Amino acid sequence: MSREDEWAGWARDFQGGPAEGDAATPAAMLAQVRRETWKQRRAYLWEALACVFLIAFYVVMMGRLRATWFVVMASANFVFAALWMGYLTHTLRGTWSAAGADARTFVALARSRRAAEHRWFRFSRAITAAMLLFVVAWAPFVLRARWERYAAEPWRAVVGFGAVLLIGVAAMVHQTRRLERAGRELAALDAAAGE
Amino acid sequence: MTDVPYPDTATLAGVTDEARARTFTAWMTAHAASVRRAAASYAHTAAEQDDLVQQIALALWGALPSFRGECSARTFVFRVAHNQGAHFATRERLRRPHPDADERVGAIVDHAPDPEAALDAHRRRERMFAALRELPLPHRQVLTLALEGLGHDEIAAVLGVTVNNVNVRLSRARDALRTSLGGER
Repeated sequence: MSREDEWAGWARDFQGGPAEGDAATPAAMLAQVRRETWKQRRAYLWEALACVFLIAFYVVMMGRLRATWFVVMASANFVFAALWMGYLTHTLRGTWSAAGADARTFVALARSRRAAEHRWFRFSRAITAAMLLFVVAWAPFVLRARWERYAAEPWRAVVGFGAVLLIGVAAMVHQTRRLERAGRELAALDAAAGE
Repeated sequence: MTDVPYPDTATLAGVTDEARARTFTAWMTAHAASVRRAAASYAHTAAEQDDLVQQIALALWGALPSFRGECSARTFVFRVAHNQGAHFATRERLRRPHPDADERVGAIVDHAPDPEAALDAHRRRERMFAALRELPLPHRQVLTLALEGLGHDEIAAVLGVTVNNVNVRLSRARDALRTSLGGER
């Protein structure tokens, strides 16, 4: 086979793929943005369900445990769930649908979604850090309350506190990486879109 | 502000937002398939290609006011597409050195009435794009632009290199692609 035939074959294969050809038109990109709206709705629904589950758990447990400390903790969790969903709803405002069908709408919506994602990641990392600080501050009280048990079986303290600390640090590392990635993407997007 | 309807050679600096949107739509529509192919030469999965196409589109939107009519619209669009592709490839190399084999293959389309021939063509195309993605970035860029049908001087303008450099890169890229495809054809 000659070089020309070889090149013609490659060009034919290249020109024929990978999609049917119109996947980069503005109309197709708007369709993609609309598909992403469904993904966003699903993610929002999952967050809402998690909050409902949390509230339901504490409501059920409050029926059994009537201790003051538990009521305080449950109330704090109700406030937390409301804050969580409230901030998520606030963050996602204006990102649910494309107001128009032109290029400007597409550009504006794509940018606002990335910005919302970045704000949300920053918020969730701050919440994670606050929870971690709360656990660290609470740990001495738990240690003192269960001192005899931990003194008899030190491995319980090591495993218990170690696991919580490990999970907390891992969550912080994950959230920080996610936030940095989102920050880089947003900066790249702003640079690309000339904002 | 001036209102220029999607020009191919005139400057776009200072045009209205509406004219910018019209130009953007016209250029993206005209080069949709090429942009998609460029994205496929950098990104493995269909979802990543969608994201990259979106990134290219946003970059083109941002770059339009810098168009001074010194090159064709095609050259300009390809320059933006391959710049974004190169950024994407650099990020992806750091994030995921070796994608899963399963992710490389997109959905197989049944092109009735000859599904066997269609499947064969689809596999050849998949193998072609997989081979292209394995090439070093300079080779990949010059080869995809040449396969798009751009002349050597236009490729040089897109990549910001000399025509001589394009010739050298293209020769090496062809050899690398031939090796990668197993010397077939």
